[in-house]
Amino acid sequence: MKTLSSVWIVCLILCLVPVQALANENERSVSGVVSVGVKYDSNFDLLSEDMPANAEEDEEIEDAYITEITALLLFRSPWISPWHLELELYGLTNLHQQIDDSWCLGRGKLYIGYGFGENTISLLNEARYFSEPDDTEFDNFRNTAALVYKRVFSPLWQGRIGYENIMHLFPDNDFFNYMINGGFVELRNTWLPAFSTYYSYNYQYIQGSGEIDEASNAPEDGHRHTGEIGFELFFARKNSLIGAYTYQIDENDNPMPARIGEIQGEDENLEEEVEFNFVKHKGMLLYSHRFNDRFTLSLYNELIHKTFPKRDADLYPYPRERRDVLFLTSAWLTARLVGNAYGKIRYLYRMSESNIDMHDFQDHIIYLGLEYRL
Amino acid sequence: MFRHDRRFCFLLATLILLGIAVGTAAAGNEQERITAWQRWKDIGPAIALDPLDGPADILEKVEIIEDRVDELVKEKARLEKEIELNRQQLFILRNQRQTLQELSQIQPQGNSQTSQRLHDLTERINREENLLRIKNESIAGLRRELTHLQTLAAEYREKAKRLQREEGGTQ
Repeated sequence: MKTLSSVWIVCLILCLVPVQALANENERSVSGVVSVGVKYDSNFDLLSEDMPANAEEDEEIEDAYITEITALLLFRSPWISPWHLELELYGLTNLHQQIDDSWCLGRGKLYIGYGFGENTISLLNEARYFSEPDDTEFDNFRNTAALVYKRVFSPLWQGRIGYENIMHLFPDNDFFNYMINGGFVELRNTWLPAFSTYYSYNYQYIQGSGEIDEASNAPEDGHRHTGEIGFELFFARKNSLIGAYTYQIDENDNPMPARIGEIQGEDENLEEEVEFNFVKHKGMLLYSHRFNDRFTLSLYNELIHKTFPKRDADLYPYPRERRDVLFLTSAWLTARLVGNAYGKIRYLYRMSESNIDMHDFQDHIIYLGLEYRL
Repeated sequence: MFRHDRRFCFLLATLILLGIAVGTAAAGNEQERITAWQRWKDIGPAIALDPLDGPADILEKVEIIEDRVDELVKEKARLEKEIELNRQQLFILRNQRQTLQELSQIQPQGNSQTSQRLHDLTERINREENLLRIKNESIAGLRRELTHLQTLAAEYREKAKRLQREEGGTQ
């Protein structure tokens, strides 16, 4: 029986790996980007102008000059075969003038896909380590794994179903650790070759320590439902428009709204990754115009309306139900300077208007950078 | 219990293999369709010249060649149209991927659905590029065959005329 199993496994492997040693002419198997830039941030800590009178001295709005360095290395399988492999390594650091406020992020991503006809089974694993500014209290490691089956029903319709596991660990504070298990389904409809819409639903079950540390905690037991509809449109040969509306509801056994860590780090979006007990509506639009091979202009807008329901009046930390409206707009121009060297200039504005004044903020970011694409 | 698990694994592996075989066959059909003209009935024996062929026989063979030329011209037009569509599709897909790449950089890391869409798009681009390569190879071969047959038809016609003149001169 053991021999039969071994023969079977060998046959299985031999059947599944018919690789043609034929490189794809237009795709490079190894590519990468190295970039360095300077950034001005008008409100680095995203503080409100209406801080309470007893706020500490270091809770004043401060601007910052930051040096940003990023590196990306990507390996993509160059062979033509049912197997598809991608490995991505990414590093980002923001060096602040005050060294304590510097932060960095490292990420590794592995994708293995197997295509049979137009259908695909794939496994995606992404590991990320984020070192926050100030101290190591909220430094965290997160691993996201997803197993997805994609089926093409017809040239116009395709569906995707997947299982997802997210593990979030805080080395300095074990009680923030939590794990998410969930699944999602997505249906995509291609109306025209350049216009498609999609509809997705995602359910996540959250399990954490449940221990409370001030206002931060990982829930012992929580549920998150996410519904999204979106579209992708390409028109007049040079324009791309992607838009989506997302509705998300997060409920858990802790009746208080909770967040682990501060809103710091990557600034391109307003999503707060480690936040619980909320109802959120989000709309986003990304427009991109390619003037020619040299210049590309992109605009991104994000609007979020978030409510933190008052489930237990005694434990709720605010005098009334907290409601936040967050808005972000960003525009950037990318220009190919010489050969593979590119220049990038970006302006970003983000703000929060809350019915709890201390959660208001406004921030302007200007970035100027150079990148080299390998 | 363990034996049952093992049987279940074998059954599952067999089903996966079957699914893959069906899928691979479907992918193979597309490639076969593109190169279908190469498997048309060989007209070589039907158009081979015999030393005893007279002008009427040769012109009959010219007709066979011209019929095949007409079929090849239609196939060439169909392939050219498909290649043009493929190129447009690739242009759109590459731009979509670039925009989606920008979106994946903006969105919070770990949004696996955008990453999956990006990979799907990359795979689709690879597939379209592969199809385009096969179509380009197929149409290059088709053009060579067309030129060969048109040259042959012209030679046959010339030979038929010469034989007709010779027969006329003899009479």
